[in-house]
Amino acid sequence: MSEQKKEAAMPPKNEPVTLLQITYEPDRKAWATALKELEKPKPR
Amino acid sequence: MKILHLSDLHLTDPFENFEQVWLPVQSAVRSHRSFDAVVVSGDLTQSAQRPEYDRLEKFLETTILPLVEGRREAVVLVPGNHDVDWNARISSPVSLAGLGADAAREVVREALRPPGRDRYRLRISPLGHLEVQAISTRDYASRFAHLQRFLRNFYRGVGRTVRPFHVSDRDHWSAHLFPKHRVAIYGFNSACSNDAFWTGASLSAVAISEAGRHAREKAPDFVKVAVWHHGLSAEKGRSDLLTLTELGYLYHAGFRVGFHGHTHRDELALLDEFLGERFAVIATGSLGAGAAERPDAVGNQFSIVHLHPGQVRVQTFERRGQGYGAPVKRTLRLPRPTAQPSTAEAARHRRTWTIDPSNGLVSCLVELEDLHARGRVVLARPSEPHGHAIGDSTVETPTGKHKVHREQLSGGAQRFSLVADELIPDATWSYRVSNSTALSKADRQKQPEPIETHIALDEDSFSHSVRFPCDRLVLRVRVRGPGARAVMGPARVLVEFESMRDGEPTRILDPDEADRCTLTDLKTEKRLEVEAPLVGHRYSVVFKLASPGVEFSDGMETALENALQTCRQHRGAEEIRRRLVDAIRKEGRFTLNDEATWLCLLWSGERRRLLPAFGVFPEPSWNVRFPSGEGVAGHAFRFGKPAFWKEGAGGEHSLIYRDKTEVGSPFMQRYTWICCFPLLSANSCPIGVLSFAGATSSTPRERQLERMAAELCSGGRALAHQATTLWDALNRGFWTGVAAEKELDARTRELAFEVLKSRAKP
Repeated sequence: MSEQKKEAAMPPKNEPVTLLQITYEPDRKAWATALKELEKPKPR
Repeated sequence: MKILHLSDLHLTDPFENFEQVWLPVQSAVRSHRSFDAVVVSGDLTQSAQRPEYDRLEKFLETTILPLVEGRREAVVLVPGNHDVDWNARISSPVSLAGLGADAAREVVREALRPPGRDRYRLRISPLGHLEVQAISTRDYASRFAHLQRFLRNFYRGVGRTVRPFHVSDRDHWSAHLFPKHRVAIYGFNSACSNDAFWTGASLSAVAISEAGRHAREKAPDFVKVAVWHHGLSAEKGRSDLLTLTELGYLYHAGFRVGFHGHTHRDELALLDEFLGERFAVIATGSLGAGAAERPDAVGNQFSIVHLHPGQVRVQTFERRGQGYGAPVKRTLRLPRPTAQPSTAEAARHRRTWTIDPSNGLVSCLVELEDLHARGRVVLARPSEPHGHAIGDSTVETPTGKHKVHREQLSGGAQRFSLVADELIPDATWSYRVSNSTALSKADRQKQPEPIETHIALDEDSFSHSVRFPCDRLVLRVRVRGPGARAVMGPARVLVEFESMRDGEPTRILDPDEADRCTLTDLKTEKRLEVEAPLVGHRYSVVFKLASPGVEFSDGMETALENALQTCRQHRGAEEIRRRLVDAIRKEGRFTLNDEATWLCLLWSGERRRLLPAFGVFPEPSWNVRFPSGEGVAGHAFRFGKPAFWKEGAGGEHSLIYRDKTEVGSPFMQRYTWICCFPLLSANSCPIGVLSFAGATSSTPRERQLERMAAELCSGGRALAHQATTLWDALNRGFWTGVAAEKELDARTRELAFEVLKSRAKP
C-alpha cells in the first residue's frame, strides 16, 4: 500500500465535542466598571 | 491443583512387590485425603513383560486409584526405557558374506549411526562376534506390545478428557485435560526411539507438534504440563538424556511445566536458575529401584506438587531407612497461561501515532506485513489513565476485511483483537484515543497520577508492548496541525520488561535492548526502529515536552484548594452562589436562575481533578470528578477554551463525551447537551469550568444554550460571538463574586482583585 493510501486510511476527525477555537478577549470597559463597583465604599 | 508425582516404579532388589515400597509412602501422605492427579513419569515395569503390567494394574487399582477417587483419567502414565521389551523379535541377522564389499560397507556404516529410520543395528552375538541385525518394519512396534495392551485395558471406557498413547502405532503422546483446574497434562514417550540395541532418549517432534495443536484447540488457556521419562543430564558418554532443543520444542508448543524421572534423583537446583520463569521442571527420583540402581546417597523419592496458575510448589520426600522424612520444598514461578505462546508473527510491524495538538486526540495506525495469524492476535490494549479509545471495527486487508473484537477489561482498559488462522500479506487497522499524551509541561502536571516510573515530569511517551514476534518493529510519533512544532523536544528510547519484585509487577529497564534500537529525532516526528524485538518487552519513544504551557501563578493552587474547601463545606455555598448570580445578572446580558442546571467546577491540584464547588444541580452530581481533558468540562479546562456537545450533532462516537454507561460512573446525569466555559486566571491559566447541561430544555436560557451547542457542534459559527461574550461575562461574574465573598480567605479574594485589575487594564 502506498504512503498516500495509508494516510487516507486514517480515520476522519469526527469528534462530536467542539472546542471553540477563539482567543479570550475581555471586555475591558465592563471589567473596569465591575472593579469600580467593588471598590466603591458601601453606603452607611 | 494437587498432584502426586511418582516415577520409576520398576522394582529391583531388594524390593519384590509394590506393597514394600508403598507402605512408607502411605504413612507419609496420610494427611492428604486425595489428589487431583497422579503422574507416573515412566519406567512402569523393570522389563516390560506382561506379568509385570498385570501386577502394576492391580497396584494402581487397589492403591493409586483410591487416591484420586477412582478416576482413571486422573492417572497420567508415561512409558520409560524399561517399558521397551528387549525380548520382542524386531530384527533378524544379516549375512554380510552374501553381499558385495561396497554393499556390506554401507550396511555397517548405517548400523553405526544412531537410530532413526535406519534399518540396521550392530550387536555382540551370543557367540561373541559382531553381528548386523536388520530391523523388521512390520515387527518393530511389537517392543511396546505389552505396554500398549496394559494402557488400553487401564484407560478403557474413560471419558473424552483422556486421549491415550497409541505407541504401537508410532503415536507417542497422550492428553489428560482437567477443565476444573484449567490444566492440561500431556504425556510424551521419550523412549520412542529405544529398542534392544539403542537406549538413548528423544522426543518425537511429530508428537510435540500434534500435542501442541491438540492443546491449542481443546485447552487454549490452560496451564500446559508435559510429562516424559528421561532427564536433562546423563552420566558422561551416555545418550539417555533429552536436549535443550527438545525442551525448546515443548516450550514453543505452549508447555510451561515438565515432570520427569529416570535420573533417580531430584537434580534441578541449577536448572531452575537457568530456565527462570520460562519453564518449571520437576524431577523426582525412583520409587521402586533398589539401592544398587540409585545414585550414591539418594533414597527412594516421591513428590507432592501444588500447581497454581502463577507458581508451582514442590515437596520432594526422600526415604531414609524405613520411612520418609520431612520434604524438601521448592517454589518455582510460572508465566501466566496464555492461549498460545504466540498467536502471530509478522515480517514488519509499524505503528504510527499522529497527535493533533488542537484537541489532544491521537490516531494510531497499525500496519502489519505478512502477518501469520494463528488464533487471536491482540492489536492494541489502550488503558486508563490514558484516555478513552475507539477502534475501527475491521482490519483492512487486500483480500477483504476481518472483524475486530473489543473487550472491556478491568480498570478501564480495552483490548482490540483479530481472530484469524491464515497468512495476511498486508493488514491495516487504526484506533483513536483521547488524553494519551501531554502537549506541554503544564499539561503533564495536570495528568492523573503518573504511573510511568521511568519517565520524567517534563517528558511523555508512546509505548508498545510486543506480543508476537516480528522481523522489524517501527514506532513513529508525529504531530500534525497548527502548533505542531511547539510540542516535542529531543527524544530518547526506553525499553522495559515486566517482572515480579517482592510480589509486585515491576517494570525493569533493559538498556542493552535499548542500544539495539535506532532513533530518528526530527522536530515533529520521532521514529524508533528495531530488528526482531523481544516478545514481552515494552518499547517506548520518550520525548521532552518542548512547551512550558500556562502554569498556575503563585498562590493560585492554594487559593483554589481553600475556595473548594469553603464551598464544599457549606454544601451549596449559598452566599457565593448568590453573589456570583448577582454579579452575572448585573451584566444585564445573562441570568442564571434556579431553573437551569449549572455547575461551577474548580481545580484541585491535590486530587488532580475538577470538583464541584457550587451551582444548581442534582444532589448526586456532588460526586462527579473530571480529570483534565476528560469529559466536556475536562476538555474545556485542558485547552482553556469553551467546549460544546449536542447529542446527535457532529458524529456518533465521542472520545471526549462519555455516556455514564460507558464510564461506569453512577453519578453522571443523562444529558442531551452540554456547554462548558473555562474560568481563567490573570495569566489566562484555566482554574475551573462553568458547566451548563440539560436533558429537556424548559427555560428560555436553557433553550438559548442548547441552540448554541447544536449550532457550534454542527460546524456553524453564527452563535460564536454570543458564546465569546457569554464566556467573558461568566468570568467577570465569577471573579467579582469571589472578590466580594467574605467567607473566602483574604489571599483568595486578593487574587480575584488581581484578575479584575489585569482584565480592566487598557
